[in-house]
Amino acid sequence: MLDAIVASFGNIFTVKVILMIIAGLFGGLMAGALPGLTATMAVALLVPFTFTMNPTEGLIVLGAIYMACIYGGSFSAILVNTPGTPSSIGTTFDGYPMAKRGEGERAILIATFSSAYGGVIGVLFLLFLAPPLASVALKFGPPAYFWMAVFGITIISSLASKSILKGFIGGAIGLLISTIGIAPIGGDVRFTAGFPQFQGGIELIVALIGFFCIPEALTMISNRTQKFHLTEAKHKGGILFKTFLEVMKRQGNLLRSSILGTIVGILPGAGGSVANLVAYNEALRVSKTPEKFGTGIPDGIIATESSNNAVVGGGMIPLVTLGIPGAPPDAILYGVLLLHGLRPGPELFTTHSEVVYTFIMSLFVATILMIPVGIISGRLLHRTVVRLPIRFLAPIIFFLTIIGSYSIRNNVTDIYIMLTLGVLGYILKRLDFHPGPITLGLILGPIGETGFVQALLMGQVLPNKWMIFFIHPLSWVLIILSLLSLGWPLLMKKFSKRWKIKEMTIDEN
Amino acid sequence: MKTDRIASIVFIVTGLIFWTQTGELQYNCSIFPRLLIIFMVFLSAVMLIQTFLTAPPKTVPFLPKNLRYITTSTAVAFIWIYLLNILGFIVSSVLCLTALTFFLDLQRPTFMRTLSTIAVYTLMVGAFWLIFHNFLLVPLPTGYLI
Amino acid sequence: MKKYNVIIFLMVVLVGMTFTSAALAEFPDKPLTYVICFDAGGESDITARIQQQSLEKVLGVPVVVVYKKGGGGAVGWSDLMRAKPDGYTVYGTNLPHTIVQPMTRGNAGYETEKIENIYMFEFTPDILAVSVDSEIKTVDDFIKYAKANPGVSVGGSGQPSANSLGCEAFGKLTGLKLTYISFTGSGTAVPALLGGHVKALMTYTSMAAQYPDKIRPIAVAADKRAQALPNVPTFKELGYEFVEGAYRGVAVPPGTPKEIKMKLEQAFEKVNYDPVVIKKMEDLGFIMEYYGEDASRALVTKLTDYYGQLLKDLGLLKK
Repeated sequence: MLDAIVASFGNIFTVKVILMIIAGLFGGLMAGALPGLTATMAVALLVPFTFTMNPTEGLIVLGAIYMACIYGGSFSAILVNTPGTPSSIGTTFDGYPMAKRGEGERAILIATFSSAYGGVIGVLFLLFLAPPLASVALKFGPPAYFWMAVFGITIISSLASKSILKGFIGGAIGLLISTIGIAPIGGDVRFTAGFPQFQGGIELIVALIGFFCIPEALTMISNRTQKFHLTEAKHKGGILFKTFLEVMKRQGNLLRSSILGTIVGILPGAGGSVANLVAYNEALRVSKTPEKFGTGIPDGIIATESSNNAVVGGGMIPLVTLGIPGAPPDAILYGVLLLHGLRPGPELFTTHSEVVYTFIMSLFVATILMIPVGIISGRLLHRTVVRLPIRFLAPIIFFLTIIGSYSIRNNVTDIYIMLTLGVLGYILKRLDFHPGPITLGLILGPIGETGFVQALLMGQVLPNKWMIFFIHPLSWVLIILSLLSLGWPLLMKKFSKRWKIKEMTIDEN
Repeated sequence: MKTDRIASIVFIVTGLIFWTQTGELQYNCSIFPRLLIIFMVFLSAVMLIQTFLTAPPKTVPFLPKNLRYITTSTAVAFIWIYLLNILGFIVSSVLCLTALTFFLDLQRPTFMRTLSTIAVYTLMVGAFWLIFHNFLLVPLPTGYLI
Repeated sequence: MKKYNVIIFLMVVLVGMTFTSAALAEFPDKPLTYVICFDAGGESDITARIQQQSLEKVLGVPVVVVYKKGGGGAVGWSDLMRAKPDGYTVYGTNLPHTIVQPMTRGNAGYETEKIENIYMFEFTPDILAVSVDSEIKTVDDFIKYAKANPGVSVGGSGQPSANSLGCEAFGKLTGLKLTYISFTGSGTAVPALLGGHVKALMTYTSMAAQYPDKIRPIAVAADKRAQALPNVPTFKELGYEFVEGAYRGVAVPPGTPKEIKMKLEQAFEKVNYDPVVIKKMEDLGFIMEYYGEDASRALVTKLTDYYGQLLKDLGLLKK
């Protein structure tokens, strides 16, 4: 293996490959920062360009785009309170309050260093522990997926501490919206009110743009007399180095979040959208100052951004060893591998070891190069958003939401849905129902329902079909985790006076 | 608190409407949504009861500042989407972007300001069009114009 | 003021550029959009990507693959009904999906007959498969196992689909009680089999070709053996009258001019005879088919009768 790694460096450190990685990183950053262009889409869009390259170069470019796209999602999360990809939902919670205070640049730097850290950890796992970890992907059967979704929903209790009740109602709304369209099992058409366009359901990305972007743009319009959206930061010298040290001091958070990200990445179908919220939840739970989460503290950004980039390496673990894509963009990479005649699986490491190790090492290099590329683009973007008056910024956000929601399925109906959900989201936000829990419900709905109904079908051979949810040890692990996650914030609230209103208050006086 | 009361009633009613739609579905398709509806209606009922029991905490008023601006901007955005397939992506976007910018402007626009706004937007929308349509080959909405 | 002059100049140039590209010429003179009604990375996507390069060579214009997923393909196909019939947009279609969906849904958004398939290029038969370390090695083993364990779980992709209907049809034929467990794609069912969560899969030949060291196909539901699986018998050889699978093709919006349809039909035919395309398709377990426009229509008519009867027997027919 070491020979292969050393040999791969020879392939990577050529001017051509490094330039390709940098180009991929810039492209990925831009796509990631635009709400609607997710990593899956960005990778899919660029597949044809890799036809003209050899398989190794093609994979290198796509890997760099994927990595940068997940990181780029933090830019819009921090600057305009809108996750650029679903992997950055949690970054809005602390990143945006920091930017509002005029610490946008610092928040972006924290995201940069954490993303790179998480990316590296994920790739290290991929490199050294892929075969043993891949079996995790097979352990999860339908009942475990259902319990995983339940665990995911319990995160709400720490996301929405201002009103846990409202948080769960929001989660239920999101879950219910996710059931619109064709039932995943059985294939009946539900809740479409007779419109064939709704058969496909509400696309997650469309809802995400609606629930996050539109309320933000409308809030800006409501504050039109302020002229500017964010407070301009006083330029502080040495911020780069100081932030680097600040992030690196939090090894516990970094490592925990990166490992969580890797594990969630290994599970087929989950990915960064789940990972970042799980990591946020865990960071909050072990923190000595949980009440500060949501007010704009580095720990929140560190947790989400390191975990989502760890998903990149984690998701490739079952991909290269078993041929089972972990996170959604890995499905595209799987297709690319097949098209080039590289069938993923154990033999890939023996027969095409050079391709595999070059690809993995290139991800490593891309992650490191992401730091300078990210700092340059992040600063530029930050300056633009800070100096752009609201009369330009708000319309431009509308413009980007239109492009984003259209291009996901090339469908004008999706733009209408996005805007309608956006208005609904604004009203709900005024009533203290925040977009975080709603989108969590949207993400987990299909995972939960598929697991739930599949498990019930499997349970038909048991004396009582509901027993299927309780016979596997893994189910019990997840049940206990859910109870802990649900009960912890409630306990903290009861026994600790420190826990105060932490949720962002509506930006209004 | 009045808003919370109304909201919880709206959620309960929504839940019941969804419930009536599950009648004709197969068991496999209706079981999960039904459990969700029960969950949502139960929580909303708790919230409704809470509004009668607890003293209302001080909240921000429900109606935002500059409501007129919010509703008008949203209306413009809907018109914008409608125009996409008639005027095409570039024309409708430049038109609506410019309209919104003027509408939100705190000053009375001058001629030069108008011209530069249109120019900047044309460049921006054009750049997006080139990247999506010509480089990434993603088809954007087209109409009778572009 | 110089700054403004530059901006105005650039504006004029930009607007001018976009207008000139609208000039008309021989079809095709601009990129062709190939819409896939499923997820990127799925099998419909992979087959389209295999054709893409060859199709670009034949047509001489770029071919863009875009995705309109949702509703098991129905969202895309209902858009197909309203798409511009100029030949620059073709949609990937799948059988039996476009036959079964309008039969089992109140309003699928399209009608089977309105989908004008201009070419059906491949067939993927169903296979019955188990994990390689399973004790089941033949169809007889499976039947013995299923008789001893009624309600044995069989995973597959989608419902109603060629997998689910195949499972039902096979159960009816052999008198077995099988529990079909639907997954959201062929690929997602594989880990469930490997992890032991389902006993067997009713899946496609392509899966056996892609995971040769992990899943063991025990029989193919086709008239003849698949090129990628020469050692796997067909159900017919074993005495079971069971043929089932999915076809892929391309369709144009209703009202597309005859000449353009013919040109596209010829282009797809040429692509189908490209040795590179054939090699890649067959390596992945797809079986090449060469149904032109008329043959495709005849195929759809034939299958409509078959599935209509099957769904009626199963009590799934809505209209």
